[in-house]
Amino acid sequence: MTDEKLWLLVSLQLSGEATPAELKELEMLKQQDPLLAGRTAVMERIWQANHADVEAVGSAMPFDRHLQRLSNHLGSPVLQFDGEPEINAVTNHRPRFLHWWWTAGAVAATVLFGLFFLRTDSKDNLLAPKIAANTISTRPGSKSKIELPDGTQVWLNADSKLEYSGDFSGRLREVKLSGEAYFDVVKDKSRPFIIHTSRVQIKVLGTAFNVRSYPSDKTTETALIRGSVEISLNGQPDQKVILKPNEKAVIDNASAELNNAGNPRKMKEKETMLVSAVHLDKKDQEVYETMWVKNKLAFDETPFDDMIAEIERWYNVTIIVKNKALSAGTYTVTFENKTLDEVLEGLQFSAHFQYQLKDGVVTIL
Amino acid sequence: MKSINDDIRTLQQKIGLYEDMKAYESLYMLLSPRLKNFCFSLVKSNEAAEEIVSDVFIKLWQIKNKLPDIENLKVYLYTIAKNFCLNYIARHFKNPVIRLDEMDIEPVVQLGNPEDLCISADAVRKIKQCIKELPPQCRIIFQLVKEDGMSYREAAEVLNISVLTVRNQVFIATRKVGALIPASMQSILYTDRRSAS
Repeated sequence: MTDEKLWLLVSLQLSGEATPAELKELEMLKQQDPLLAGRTAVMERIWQANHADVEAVGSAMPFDRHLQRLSNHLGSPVLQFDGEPEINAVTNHRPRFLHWWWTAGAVAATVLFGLFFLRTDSKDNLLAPKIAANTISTRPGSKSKIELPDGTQVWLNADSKLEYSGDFSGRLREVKLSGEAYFDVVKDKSRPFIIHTSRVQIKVLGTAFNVRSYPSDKTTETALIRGSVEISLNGQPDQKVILKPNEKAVIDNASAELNNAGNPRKMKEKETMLVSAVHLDKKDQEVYETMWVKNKLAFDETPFDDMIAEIERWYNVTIIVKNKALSAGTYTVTFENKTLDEVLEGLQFSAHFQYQLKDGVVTIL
Repeated sequence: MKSINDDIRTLQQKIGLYEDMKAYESLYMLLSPRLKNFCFSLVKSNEAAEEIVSDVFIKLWQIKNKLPDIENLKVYLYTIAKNFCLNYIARHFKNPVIRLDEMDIEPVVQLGNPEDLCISADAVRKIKQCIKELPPQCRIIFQLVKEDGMSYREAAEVLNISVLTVRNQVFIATRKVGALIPASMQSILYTDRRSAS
């Protein structure tokens, strides 16, 4: 019977559930019987061997593999952050004591940027070292949304990279973009927001617009949704154009010149930048240029080859088009939350092709 | 184990309020090995257990905004893990038994090696066998309390049973294992050494 009582007390003690009185009773029992005390000591050591020594047990899935699964599952935010921003570098124009919560939020936002650790393959070093303190990039096949230290919201499309200085504390808010992003810029007249791309720079006061500047694209596009932006060519600061809402500017990347076709407004000197209306969906009055933000893969009279390039980036696949005749057509279609297979099957209705999907490579016959 | 719960609490706040990825990783490193063992006990497949734990943490990321309101995150995660395991069993087993007190449970319980325990390898083997032969519910309760350092209340919440049941089952497991521990002079000497140092 004492045995029963003893092991009950031991089980309570080792579980950390014993009361002081029970612990005292256990001590007394052990003192009375040294042999029992020896056995409880062994039991103690058995309890101490537990999952704390993880190595002995075999570990769980490595975190990076888990993160990959997480990204695949969410179908979007695979953020990749470079550079460690300094937490205390966040500055604030408002009196601190009044707005401690604001600072806290800003610090949190800044900290967050430093906290992703997946490595980016830095193939292209677009940025002058001056601004390159933080890098946020997305892989092909994923998108993400970020908030900059000033509160500006940025939706980053697949295979894109945004770089900015750590704290946005200077006279200008400057970022560098490669790829496509939709900006909703917080108004701050004293500190213009400037976006640098490989071909142009865009100056903003407070507005929402889409910038598309993939290195592989033939053109750089800026589509304005509201507010106003001023676009100038790199190296030609006097050559600029101001966009009105629902207009877009298209710059030919190949020629150093801005070209001007269709129905443009007058610009000084060479008329080199094309300004046209954004593409509005006839039914919903939705702007095609920004549909990707809502996870819609949308094409409006898009040439076949451009469309294929977009699909490759969207789904992170390689597409080989064997049937060159397909390149002739243009396509207008919107896919919302569709799988690659569904998109390809959808296209088969109008394009009449066969395709094979194998190891992430699509072959269109 | 108190300190572990404090750590979890801190990480929980960081993830919930700031979507702190570093804290998310820390929490994963802290809990995923234990959770994996727990899942393995139920589904008895390493790969499935790994994926279920990953799914649990995906779920955690999805509900991160609600984290500040969750009282005991460890219990919460184990409960989700248990439910995922039961779903898995219902889907993948031919004759699924999804009652914890009836299903077979593979215990993952560490004993330590015979030299450290100062008992014979044979005694260790017998203890292992004994733990394997405990009633299934008893096995998993013992595992949660001993291996994962859960309080009786926490284990009770995860398994949806009463605290008293947990207390009784831990006692039964301890008594059965204790009965197999031989009384030897060695272990007494060991005890003396420890108390002397």
